[in-house]
Amino acid sequence: MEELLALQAELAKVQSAPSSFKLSEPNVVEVVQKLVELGLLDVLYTMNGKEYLTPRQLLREVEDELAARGGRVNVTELVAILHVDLPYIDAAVATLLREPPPAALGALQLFQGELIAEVYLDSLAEEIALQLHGAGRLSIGELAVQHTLTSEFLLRLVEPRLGSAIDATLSGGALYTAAYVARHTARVRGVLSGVTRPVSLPQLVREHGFNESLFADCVAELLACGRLRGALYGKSTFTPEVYTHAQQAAVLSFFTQNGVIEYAALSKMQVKDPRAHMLAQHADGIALSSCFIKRELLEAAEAQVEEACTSGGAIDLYGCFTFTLTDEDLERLVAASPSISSLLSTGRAVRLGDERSLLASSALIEACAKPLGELAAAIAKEKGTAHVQTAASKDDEAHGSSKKGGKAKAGKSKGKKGKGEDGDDDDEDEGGGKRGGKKGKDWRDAALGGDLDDDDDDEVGRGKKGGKKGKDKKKAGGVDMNAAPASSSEDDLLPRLEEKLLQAVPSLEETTDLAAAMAAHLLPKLLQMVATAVAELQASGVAERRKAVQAAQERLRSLSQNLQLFVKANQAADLPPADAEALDEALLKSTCLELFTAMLHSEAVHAGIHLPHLADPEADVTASERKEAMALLPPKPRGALQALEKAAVGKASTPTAFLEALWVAEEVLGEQCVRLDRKREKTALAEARAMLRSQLESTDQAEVALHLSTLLLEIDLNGLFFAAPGHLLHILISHLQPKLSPAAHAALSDCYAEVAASQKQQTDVAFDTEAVRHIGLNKGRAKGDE
Amino acid sequence: MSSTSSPRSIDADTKATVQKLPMLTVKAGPRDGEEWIKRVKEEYMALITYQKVNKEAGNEWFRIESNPMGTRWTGKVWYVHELLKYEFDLEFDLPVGYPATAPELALPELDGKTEKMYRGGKICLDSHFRPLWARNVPHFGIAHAMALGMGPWLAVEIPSLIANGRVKHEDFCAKSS
Repeated sequence: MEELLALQAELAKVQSAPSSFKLSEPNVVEVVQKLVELGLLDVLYTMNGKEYLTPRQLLREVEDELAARGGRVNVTELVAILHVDLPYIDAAVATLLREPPPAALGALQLFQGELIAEVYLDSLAEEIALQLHGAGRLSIGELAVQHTLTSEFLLRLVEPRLGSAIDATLSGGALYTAAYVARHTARVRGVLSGVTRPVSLPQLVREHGFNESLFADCVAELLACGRLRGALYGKSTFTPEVYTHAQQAAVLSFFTQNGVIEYAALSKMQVKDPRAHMLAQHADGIALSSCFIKRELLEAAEAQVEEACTSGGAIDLYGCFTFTLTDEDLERLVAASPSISSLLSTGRAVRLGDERSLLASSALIEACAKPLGELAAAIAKEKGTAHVQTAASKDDEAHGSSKKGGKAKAGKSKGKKGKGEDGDDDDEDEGGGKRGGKKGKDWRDAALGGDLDDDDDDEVGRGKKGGKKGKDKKKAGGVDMNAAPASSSEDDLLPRLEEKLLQAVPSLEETTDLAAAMAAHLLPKLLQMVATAVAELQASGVAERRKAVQAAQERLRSLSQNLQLFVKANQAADLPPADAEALDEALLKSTCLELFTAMLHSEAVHAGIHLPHLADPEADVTASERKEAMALLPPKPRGALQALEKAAVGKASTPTAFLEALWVAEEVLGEQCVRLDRKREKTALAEARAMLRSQLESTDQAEVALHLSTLLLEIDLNGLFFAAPGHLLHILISHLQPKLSPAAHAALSDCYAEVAASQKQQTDVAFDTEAVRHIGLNKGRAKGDE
Repeated sequence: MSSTSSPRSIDADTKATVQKLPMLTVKAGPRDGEEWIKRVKEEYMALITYQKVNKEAGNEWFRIESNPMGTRWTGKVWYVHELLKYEFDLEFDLPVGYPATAPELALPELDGKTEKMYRGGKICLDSHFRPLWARNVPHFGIAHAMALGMGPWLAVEIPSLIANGRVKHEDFCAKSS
């Protein structure tokens, strides 16, 4: 039986054994090829060439491999594992991704060349959770590196699983377990609770090794729930409430004690934006530029000011406060104080001084103004005498404008030009001078009678301005003839005024700088008063001067008229050449020179130069005196007069040439001498005749009577007005001979001889003056002729 | 039922195969005690040889096993026709007269599908087999009966059954791989 069973088993074994191959490998290859050709079979060839594989099998194998590797496999690795070319594997992977996911693996995804199944993600999440549990904190970046995945991928993986698979919070790219966060919060709470002064949060984080990403949220949370008390400034500073309290208490106690606190001190006490802080805390205080003060301090100052005003005194506002103030602060305080403002606006008090810190009561100012009149009168008197010289240029302008409009216009435009280009020195001199005259019409202009009707106040203000400008000019090297003396005298005035004020009101000395400030304040008023006084003084002076000008012009006119008559007489009379030449020479030396001198005087008068010795027609003016006078004149008239002088004293000059030169000079200087026409000549002759007659009638000197008679006879008989000195009278007498009776001629000749003889012998003339006068008055008829 | 008249020729391959089978020597029936055991041993030896030969030739076409006493045999036979494999259950009991009497091989699933069969699915072996068996008692055994009886019958009958639609592949395709 045993054997039977063994046989039975053997049979079964033999039957179940596979049948041995009967097809050769090439046959099989052919068969498979055939199958593929026929489309019955679709196979993939493996890379080792020993196996066929259907696409379905490949899918299965990929799936198996994925499962075997825990749900994550690199597609390129599959090539080596499955011995199948990459394109087939790619296709298989694509198919897998398209098809419904296998239940065992879950959803599939291809990420960076790796096929990843849901299973893998779940297991990874579990792993992370486990790791996190141990570490407390894991950075996504580190995890990504550890698992060779990107941070984004990990975030996608972690975020949906937070709170479920991964029990943690995600903050700033890291995962934290609740325990870790709690521990961290506890530490932060501890540190920040212990802080008593403002701290830099970044520094705290550094010192205590806090987690930066958790820190901000943690602090905000602690503050929000009220566990921490304090304030966060930005994200960098934490100020504990206890500190704020202490600070405010300190500031408050200082402020209440002193009534004032400086911003610098507040800054030192760590108060940020001190000004705004104090304003918020003490709304009724006053914020100044460098400190904050209580209103009570201002009220105390107001009381002092009020007292000073009612008592008619003055007070320094700076002195009212114990702390230093800037000008700006002072303005602010005045603006903030209704009582001081009202004092100022109602005029009960006036602010004085460079810093305007001095407050003077109106009573005090009135007291100080009293002695001004006296001072002004004194100053005006000084001015009146001193100003003839300095007003030269101004006067020249006035003179020019009346005399020759064209010139004045040119001067004006030149002035404008000079204003435009300050660089040109020449222009500057002249233009600046003119401008000074025009713009800086100061009080002295008014004093000289230039613009008396102008508004005086305005005048004063502008004068000051001009004066200052002039000062600047002087410093810059320009010569401002007009304005410079103005400012200097203004400078002189201040100390004088101050002195006077101190004399008048000694109480001024009690307050520092008050006298000087008061002087500066009253100076414009003084100047105005001085101007008025000077104007009054000068009003009379102007009349005199006008008279002088008229006289000079009158003199010039008559001289020029006479000269023309003389020249004409010399030409018209048919005299022997020698005699004519002698007459011409005499004419040059007398009338021409006199006319030149008169002209010189006239110009000097116009230029405001006082030259009394030129004014006297009888005075003998020497050449050097003339030169001096010329030097004083402005350049233009000087040039014209120099040419004229040459014509008068030149060696080859004649009266005719002089006359020509006169007309040329007239063109430059303006018409002053009148050219004679027939009618005027007649009048002039008549005038000369009348003058000669009256002189002749009144004289009792023989030589004078002879002289006058001869001249009168020339007018009466020949219609010619000669100018002949005494020693040349014989020429005229012989010229008259044809028209005279022999007796008359003889009488004149005798008289002449007698006079010449008496002059030689230095004796009196013993001749009958009456006879000569008779001849002269009766057109050459001697007493005996009638 | 009468056996078919068509002569059943044993092809050359079959002849060569049968020649490789060992001849049985013990002439004993199931009721002969120890002798029967010897006889069954020889049956097994022959079957093992036959199957080995089939395997080597790559044309195995049946499987068979018996009860402990070797009186009842069951198994499967299959036939490939036009690239399709048709498989049938095989069963038979050895008759008391065995080995003098040839075994009555049966394919119960084909019962009623062909006239070349007795009731109960016993295949109708033609006259040619019986005299052959009779001449070779006790040398022929089950292996011979399969090779010379069942094999030729399947080769003749199954194609005709498929052709006339009595057997469909879906009904007889392999029940196990």
